[in-house]
Amino acid sequence: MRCVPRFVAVRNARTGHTLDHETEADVVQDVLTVVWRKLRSFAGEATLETWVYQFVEFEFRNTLRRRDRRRMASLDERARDSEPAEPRAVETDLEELYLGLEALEPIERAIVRLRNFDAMTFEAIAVRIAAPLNTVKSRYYRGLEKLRAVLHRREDRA
Amino acid sequence: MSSFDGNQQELLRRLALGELAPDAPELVRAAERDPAFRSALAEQVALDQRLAAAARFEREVLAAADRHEPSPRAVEAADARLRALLAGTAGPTLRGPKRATSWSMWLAAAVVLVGLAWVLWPRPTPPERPRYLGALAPSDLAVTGTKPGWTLAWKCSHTDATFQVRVFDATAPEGPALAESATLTTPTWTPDAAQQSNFPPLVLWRVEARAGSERASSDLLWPR
Repeated sequence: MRCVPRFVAVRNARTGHTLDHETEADVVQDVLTVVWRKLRSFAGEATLETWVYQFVEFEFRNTLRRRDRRRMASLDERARDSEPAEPRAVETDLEELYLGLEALEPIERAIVRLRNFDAMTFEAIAVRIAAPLNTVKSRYYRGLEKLRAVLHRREDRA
Repeated sequence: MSSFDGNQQELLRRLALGELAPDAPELVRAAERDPAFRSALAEQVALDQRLAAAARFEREVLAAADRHEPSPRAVEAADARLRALLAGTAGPTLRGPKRATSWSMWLAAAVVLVGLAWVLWPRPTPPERPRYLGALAPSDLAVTGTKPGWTLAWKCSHTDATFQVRVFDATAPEGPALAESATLTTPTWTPDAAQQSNFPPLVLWRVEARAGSERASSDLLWPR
């Protein structure tokens, strides 16, 4: 579990050290708590590090959202006007994608992740999740269609 | 409902599955004939690129973690939380000022880490072991395993929670439930023999816990 503080540190560094050390430590603790709760659900579909990283990403983004909400609530209009916008285009795009993935059925999300994030072949995924190859392919395609629709809706709302 | 004909849908499916490159002649021809198809094609390619970018980002973070030193505060927080989790006392009160470490704390942390390594070390999954592909959001509910005879058992930290279990065909989880429990007060349920005989090769168990106005659910994918 030594990987968790490292993941959080790197994630924070990639966002320009947007969280201070204290908040970073809080994220580490939150991730470990979630991982602990979910331990028994880890069944080896992904590598352990990849599995843990999902929780890092989730908690990190939650923390950024909470911080941004607090910041917006506390800024007065003048400060808000004078504050330059943060260069977070890539972050926003990632966030949209992760939120879209969370909207998928669990099996679809798992297959989309295994295929794209773990670069597995459909044949390997079928073996990994003990499902027929055609089922894996159809669930993958259906997952992508849903993901596209979810992203569309979110972009339309934005 | 898709507005594309069967051939166009098949082309899009093969593109998504990686069986066709975006510049494959049949795709290019279809795109030239139909602006709507061209648009769908562009969307699929854009989605692939977004997924690839996210995957690349994630891989870079994972790779960089090996050569990145976390702050001492984060390491200490991790050790403290792990000790508390093992002792069953984890909670927000753990967040506090930095405390001095001693050799006994390091020893305790080492014991914790060895224990966790044992628990977490990936092992071959036995065929009867349930597979979990559940939601990312944290939940107090966790499926702990199955017993012979299709019994599902789980854990829930709410002592006053009630439960309901539904079983779906994992390849069509949006379809009707194949079996459904009554409201339960104990964290275990066994479908009857008639229900079990109708289960497909891959079933999705969905346990929903309710406690007052709170609700949590957890899914378990189980190859028969």
